[in-house]
Amino acid sequence: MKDYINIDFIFGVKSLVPRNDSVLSVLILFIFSGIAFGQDAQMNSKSIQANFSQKSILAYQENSQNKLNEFYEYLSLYSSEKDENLKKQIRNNIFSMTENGIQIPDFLSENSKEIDLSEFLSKIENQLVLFEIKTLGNPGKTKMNQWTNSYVLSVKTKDNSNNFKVKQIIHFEPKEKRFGSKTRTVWEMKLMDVVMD
Amino acid sequence: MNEVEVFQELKKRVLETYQKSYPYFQGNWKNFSSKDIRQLIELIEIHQKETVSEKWIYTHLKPESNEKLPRKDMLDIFSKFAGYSNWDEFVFENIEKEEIPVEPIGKSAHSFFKKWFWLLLIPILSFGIYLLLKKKSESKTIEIKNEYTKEPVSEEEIQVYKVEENEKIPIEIQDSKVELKDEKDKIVIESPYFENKEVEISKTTNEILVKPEDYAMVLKNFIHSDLKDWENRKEKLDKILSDDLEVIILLKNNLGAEYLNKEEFSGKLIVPTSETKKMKILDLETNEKKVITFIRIQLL
Repeated sequence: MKDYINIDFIFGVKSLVPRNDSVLSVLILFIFSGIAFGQDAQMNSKSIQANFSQKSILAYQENSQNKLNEFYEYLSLYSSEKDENLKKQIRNNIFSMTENGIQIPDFLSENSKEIDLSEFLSKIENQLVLFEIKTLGNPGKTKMNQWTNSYVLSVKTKDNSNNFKVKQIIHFEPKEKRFGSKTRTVWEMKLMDVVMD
Repeated sequence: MNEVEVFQELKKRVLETYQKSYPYFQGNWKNFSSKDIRQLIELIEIHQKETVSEKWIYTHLKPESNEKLPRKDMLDIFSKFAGYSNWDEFVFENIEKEEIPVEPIGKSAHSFFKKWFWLLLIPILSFGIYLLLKKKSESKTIEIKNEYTKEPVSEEEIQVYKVEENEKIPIEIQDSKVELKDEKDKIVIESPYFENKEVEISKTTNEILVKPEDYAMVLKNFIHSDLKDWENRKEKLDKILSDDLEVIILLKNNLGAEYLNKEEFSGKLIVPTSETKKMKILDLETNEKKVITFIRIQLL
């Protein structure tokens, strides 16, 4: 008599298949791929593409480009402001737009080595640096919860003027956000590391 | 058939094309509902990749008759929607060619009466035109002004609707003025910057005064301010904004939204940037303590 394995637990119907190694391997592969697929589907339900139409994604990407303009406008203001309290406010505005601990090339040094944003802010203090985005490229392919914006950044100090080709990841994902005593899940956009392109 | 009449024909064709997608709609422009309007806009967006405003449809397609021809680019969009390459083709295909009468020889008596017929018809037509113009001149033009400053209110800051059978129909505002044909009309003025007002035309003069909403005006000024006086702004914002404030910033064409809390929104107004100046307040809510709890903003 042949040895059989019951696969009821998988399909929920009475069916018996001959036991041999290849059948077992296929079953195991099937079960694990199912688990993996389930997890993937759960992840995908939180992806940008599963939640927004192509038109909406383009609108959010355009908005991310506006945010970059705002980010560099704040950096320029910060570099020229003398009032410590106002500087603190500008600093808060900058950090509320970015993910914690992001890095940015040190545009004022020769090698433009990437440093912490807070360190970069200390370096530009009282330096009168003018940051301006000159050209914005089309945002890169939308991934699960992010895309990349490429642009040419002009950095002007009183002695120097340079253009840098850089790219920056934009994170866009659902987050729990506090509105005073209330909390709501909203899609939030944050600026990530700036790297040389 | 003149071009305005051809436009009436186009309106018919637009309805017919709409019915191909929504066959259960069997009405006419008069009962074309706001839901139908949204669906029509969607169809145009999908097929023509063009955007048409709800207001445009209310102003030009919903009325039974039109006095003037709408803009050519809009005529092109709707002609394409009806299956033509553009408005020019639609006119060419639909305008009736004038027939040149060929007078048969020996019919001079008939021709004589025909001439007299036209001579009699001219005064009748002139009288008709006179009556029409008289009626038009009786239409009322009303200017909308700020109650405090007495200055005309910009059309970008208000919306005016005619109330008809529980339906609000947008009215075009030109140079802060609206033109109304019927004394029985009732209008509603809505704005985030002024208190809403309902007015019966028969009971009003040629001027309507609207009272500014203080909070909306304050925020509008802050949005357009520069860095100067930032401390005052900070202090004032802290007083007028609730700690539980929710701000929704609608992206262009309402394709998305951004949500800000009190700290983030105040930050933007304390240190305004060129991006802040693109914000336009649409709606604002306060609670019983007279602090702002909700703001809806459109990004321009």
